[in-house]
Amino acid sequence: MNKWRTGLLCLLILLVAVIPGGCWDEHEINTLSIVSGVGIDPGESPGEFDVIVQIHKVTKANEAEPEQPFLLLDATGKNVLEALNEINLRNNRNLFLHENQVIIISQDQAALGIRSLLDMFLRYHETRLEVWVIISECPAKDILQIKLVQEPVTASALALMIQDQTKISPQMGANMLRVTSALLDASKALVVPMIGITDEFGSSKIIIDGSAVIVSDKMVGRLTRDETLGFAIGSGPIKSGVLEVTAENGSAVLYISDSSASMKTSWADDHMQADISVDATLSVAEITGFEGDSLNDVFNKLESGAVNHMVELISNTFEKSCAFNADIFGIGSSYNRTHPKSWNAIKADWRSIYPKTVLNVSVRGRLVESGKISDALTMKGEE
Amino acid sequence: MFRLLYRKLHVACAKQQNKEPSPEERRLKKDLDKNIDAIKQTLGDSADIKLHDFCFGTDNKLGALLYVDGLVDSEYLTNAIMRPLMETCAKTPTACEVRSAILCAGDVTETSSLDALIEGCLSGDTALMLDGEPHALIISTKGWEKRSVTEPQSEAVVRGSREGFTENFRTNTSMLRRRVKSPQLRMDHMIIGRKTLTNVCVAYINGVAPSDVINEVKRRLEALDIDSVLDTGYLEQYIEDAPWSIFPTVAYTEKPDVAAGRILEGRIAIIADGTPFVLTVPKLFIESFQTSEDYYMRTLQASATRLLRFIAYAIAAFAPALYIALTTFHQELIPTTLLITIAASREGTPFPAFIEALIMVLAYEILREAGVRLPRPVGSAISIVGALIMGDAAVSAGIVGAPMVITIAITAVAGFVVPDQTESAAFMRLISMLAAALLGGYGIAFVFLGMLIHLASLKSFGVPYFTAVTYSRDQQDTFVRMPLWMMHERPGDIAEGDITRRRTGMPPPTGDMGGQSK
Repeated sequence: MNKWRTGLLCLLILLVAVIPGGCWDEHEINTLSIVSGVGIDPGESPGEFDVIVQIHKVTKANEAEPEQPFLLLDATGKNVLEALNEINLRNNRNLFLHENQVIIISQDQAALGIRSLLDMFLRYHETRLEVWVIISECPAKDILQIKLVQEPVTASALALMIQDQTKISPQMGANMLRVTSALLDASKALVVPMIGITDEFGSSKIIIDGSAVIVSDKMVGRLTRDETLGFAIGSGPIKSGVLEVTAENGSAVLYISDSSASMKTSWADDHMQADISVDATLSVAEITGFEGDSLNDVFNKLESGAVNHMVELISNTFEKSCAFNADIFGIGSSYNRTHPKSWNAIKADWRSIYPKTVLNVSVRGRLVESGKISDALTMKGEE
Repeated sequence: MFRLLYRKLHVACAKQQNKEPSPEERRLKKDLDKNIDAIKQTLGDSADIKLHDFCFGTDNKLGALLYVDGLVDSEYLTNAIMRPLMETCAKTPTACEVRSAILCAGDVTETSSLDALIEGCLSGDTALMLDGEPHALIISTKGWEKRSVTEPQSEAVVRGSREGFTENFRTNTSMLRRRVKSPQLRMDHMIIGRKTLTNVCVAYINGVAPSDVINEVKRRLEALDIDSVLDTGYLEQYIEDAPWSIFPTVAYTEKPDVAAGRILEGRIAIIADGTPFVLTVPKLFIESFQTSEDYYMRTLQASATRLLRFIAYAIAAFAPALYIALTTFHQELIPTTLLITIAASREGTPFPAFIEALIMVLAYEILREAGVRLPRPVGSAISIVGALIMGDAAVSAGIVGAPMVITIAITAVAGFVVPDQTESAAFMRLISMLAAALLGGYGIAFVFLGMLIHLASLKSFGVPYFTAVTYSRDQQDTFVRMPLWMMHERPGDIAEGDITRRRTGMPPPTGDMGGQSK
């Protein structure tokens, strides 16, 4: 009897452990459509979206690579999931969103708002928070149609491009996690990489060209490449990057080997005062000119030139952000952290306060390395 | 009525016929002819049984030698027994005088039992019977053909002893005795098997091996009432603790240094005649991952190799299951590029991943079995066919995907890294594959947990199978092998009494060599 009881108990435990396991979603790998990128364009009718998915075209191992390595499927719907379901109805394989690497939103759609588009991607268990969010100046469909040479699947290529940018500075890319946290912070504006299409040697290429500025889920403007660099330097940190410096008697290209930034904020009478301090370590990449100058003179000129240039970049970016009324540096958030009570008093009027903010930028630049050679060919050697 | 009487008479006659002779009847008689008749009655007319009668001494005393042709050393028999007897000048020597003054043999015993005489002869001894003596002399003349000591086939090593046990019982015990010269080494002898009368020896170090384990081993062996023991595998199946478990609870080895090492740890070795495989008990799970070379190599290499064995066992048991779970349930865990590669290989294959894996695993097991059983020249042909069919043709034909072939190949190779657990790994592979096909990663976790629970519940001769993991002292020799000079004591729960293994607690001092080097 005891034996039976034990056996029954074991069976019960086994059933309880197995049945609520929730692992019954079995899908053979060759029954899936592996989505590598999703594009969202505005639909023809207001309130509708055109959702495009780029799917890896999987061929048999022994067969030659197909000319078009991906497949584009699109559908229109009032929300993203409706469109995806519509695609699923026209596709014999299930859409597999786990491996999706980018969400491309066209500029026109971004101007209308992105919050409702991203809700599904945040909620659905198949999508990841590491997915890059990108704004395109042309329709997302056009971007996803381009076949690149080295990485034929556009979405994968784009993911690699953005990843490379984030190696310069984490501010140069925006994944779902960053976008979500920025959307939750009402005072802060979001800076998202912007891409476009360029023609090179008769074929279309994708180019990362500046950034889009998004305030309260709507795109309000665009930063140029220099302004994006100013934003990255002012927000910090920078792990690598290039700075073009023009000084008296010559010019140079400097590597930013390391740069960090800090911000202090305070309320001064009727306006916000923000102080950004940047500490950068630089090295010489290329020198042009400086005929007859000694190495020390050149270093001094370049150091001051770099400092001035960085101050100028940050200030220009700040001015542009004021024009957009977009707090891209997070001045409001910084003030909130240090003066939470005062912030509550001005929080409601922040949009009117921000453009009047006075920004002081102080940069400390140290030129520490001259590369493999010290003097340029036109410079005066050490005596 | 007559019928009943007839039946009773019949039963009584049958009883009379089957009646076992009393010990008195089985005693040797003074009359040599009667003894010879009794022997012939017992042994029949077997051609290899030699009964040689002769006269010796000045009074031509009658004597007879009984031996089995092929089991005795004929030259030794002539020189140690026949020649001294023929050349003796004694009148009518008694058995006692023959033993003490005439024979040139070292191992001579006197017996009055006919059964002991026959048993001795069948074991390779020679029996000398004298007319008028109710005793016989059993002279050790063993000298049959035997295989020489060679390198063991199943336990090859790079570093360490090349000697392996042989089929010869005495050679095996001598090899063990040669390695452990301690007077505390005990070799308790017993004979098991009604028909085979196999010599079995229980070897241990008195004062190191726990007495309760020794008694338990002896109790289990002595309780055996079986007709034959052709290999220690017979004994293993009768004495093991968990016969239905996929994990072995009795260890075996073909190497004397391994057996000696285990005896020194407090284990008990069981040696049987006719087999080069020596059993050692109790067995721990961790023992399968320890090899003799671990202790001959330097600490770091030994530890790295041991960790590698654990990884290899995990691969052997769970790799195909993991592949099934990843490709059918958890595709999101596979990096994109790899996912595309796997998807490309699975494109167009007719079977689900589980069936594919099952086909490959079965095909591999069939090939392995065929490779082991076939004669060596044909074995290579099987390898070629196997490699062609499994490695190339199956993939080219689109029946299975290349990643599956790679997975099975690495599983097969990893299975041989821990030879002791090859069978258990094969079973675990099938069970985990089935669980993965039903429940994915959850199923694998489920099976793994079940395996751990089962392993933790196993015992070998009263010692928990997972002992080395629970006792901190033994963890010095579990996942890593600490330097020998740090392992002061014998393993916990296995040894008892003299547990100190080493007293040198650090590398020996180098001494001041400065003066000498000058």
